Amino acid sequence: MSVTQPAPAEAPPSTLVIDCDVHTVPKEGLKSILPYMDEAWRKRFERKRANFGADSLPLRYNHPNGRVIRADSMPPGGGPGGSDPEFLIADHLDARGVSAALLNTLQALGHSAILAGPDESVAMCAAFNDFHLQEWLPLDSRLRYAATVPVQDPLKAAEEVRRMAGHEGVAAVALPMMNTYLGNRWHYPIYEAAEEVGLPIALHVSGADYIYQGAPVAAGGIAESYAERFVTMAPTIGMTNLTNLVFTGTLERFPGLRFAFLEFGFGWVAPLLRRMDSAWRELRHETPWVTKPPSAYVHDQVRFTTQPSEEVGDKDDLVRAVGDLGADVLVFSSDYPHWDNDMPHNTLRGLEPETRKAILGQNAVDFFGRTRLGLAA
Amino acid sequence: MERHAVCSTDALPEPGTRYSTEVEGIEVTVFRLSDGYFALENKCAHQGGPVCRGATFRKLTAEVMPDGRTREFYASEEEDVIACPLHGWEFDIRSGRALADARRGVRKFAVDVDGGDVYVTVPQRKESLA
Repeated sequence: MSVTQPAPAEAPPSTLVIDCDVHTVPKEGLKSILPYMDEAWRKRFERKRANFGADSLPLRYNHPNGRVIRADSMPPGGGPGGSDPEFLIADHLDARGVSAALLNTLQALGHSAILAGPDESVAMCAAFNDFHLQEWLPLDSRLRYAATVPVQDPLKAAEEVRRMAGHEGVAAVALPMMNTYLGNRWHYPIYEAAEEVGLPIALHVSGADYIYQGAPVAAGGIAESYAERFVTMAPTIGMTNLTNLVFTGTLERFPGLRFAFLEFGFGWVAPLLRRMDSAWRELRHETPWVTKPPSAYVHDQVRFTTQPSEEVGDKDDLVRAVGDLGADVLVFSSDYPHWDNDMPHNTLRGLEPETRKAILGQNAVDFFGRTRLGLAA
Repeated sequence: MERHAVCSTDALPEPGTRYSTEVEGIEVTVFRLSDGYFALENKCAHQGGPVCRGATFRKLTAEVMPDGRTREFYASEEEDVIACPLHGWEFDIRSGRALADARRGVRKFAVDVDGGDVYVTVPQRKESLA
């Protein structure tokens, strides 16, 4: 069997599967999205010989296998995994019984956050979004999209939120993370727009994290290897930003605003919530605008994807970890086609059937809404 | 258990080659190494991925020297480790055991060669479902 054939169909699960994190990449890099820019921007990028790729990573953070894409996700017609919509539909949605997949593009996130300048990122985000609206979403109603916004220019980002909200198939706002916490008021125009149109904010590391000035910085020092960065980066960025969102009162100020932490893991969340609740009781007068226990805000307004799932030795440990946190805040994600993906049939085993069913599908339906996910009412 | 002829030895002309087939409903890959033939199920012990479609490597390891420095070296002369293409879990082709956790492993089957044919012994379909 060639590695470029779609995966054989697995027995479909007996439950709805909503995949909250699937990665696309333009097949020919920046060249693929240039047609979605006006001529002046197109020429500027061409003259600058702009492109994007992982080759800008420091050597220490290159994956030891030389790529982060699953070998068997490479499309038969060439290009990286996640670049061919037809193959992705067959290899992932069809084969794994996925009813809706939230598409998320790291190249857009990285350039919006830091790799491109503010004006460049405004042009790039709009082009990335239009590229997906025209070349991906019409192919299959299961494809849903997290539209990236140019976070370096919050007013333009708010405009893009409102523009994207009118498009069927856009289910979330992909907000790139900078070296400015999410609770910082810089983000308020974006949050006002997202709350107004009812789109949740999807968060994901961009690839620029821990590397470039202006991206989220490393906690405590510099990781020496891919493995170190991989293990600590997302949880530490998640911990600090979630804590900041709570204690700055951002979740209080925008009660209709919702956040989905994609691929940050979830094992760290329950201990953090306990610590936040404890600190809030003891130090409440420092942040009196936090009017209820931090954990209550999180359960009301925040969700975490299960991938990368906690690979515990004993299934009872997983049951305890999920019970400790509360299954209501968990939604399934695969991270296809990346190497550290979780497939719906092979993860979360050992949980009670109703709990597993909620995490695999229903929790995401409740969070994003049936319409935004393209599901029948 | 049932012994099946799966291929001619011509299908595995030299060490480092492999041959994949299905026997009794089980995806099996036979690997030829310098000291013989070995058969593993194409199902990763981690998340069930197509491990036998992965790349092979020599067994890279390291030790801490008396002076405190680490020495990195190959512990095998041939590519007798296979890594699953999904997440990269590595397995010893001879034993099927995971390098990072010997308690975990890919299912291994007995192989023998007779008259130029390679035979693999697997549970009968009925047994494997039991």
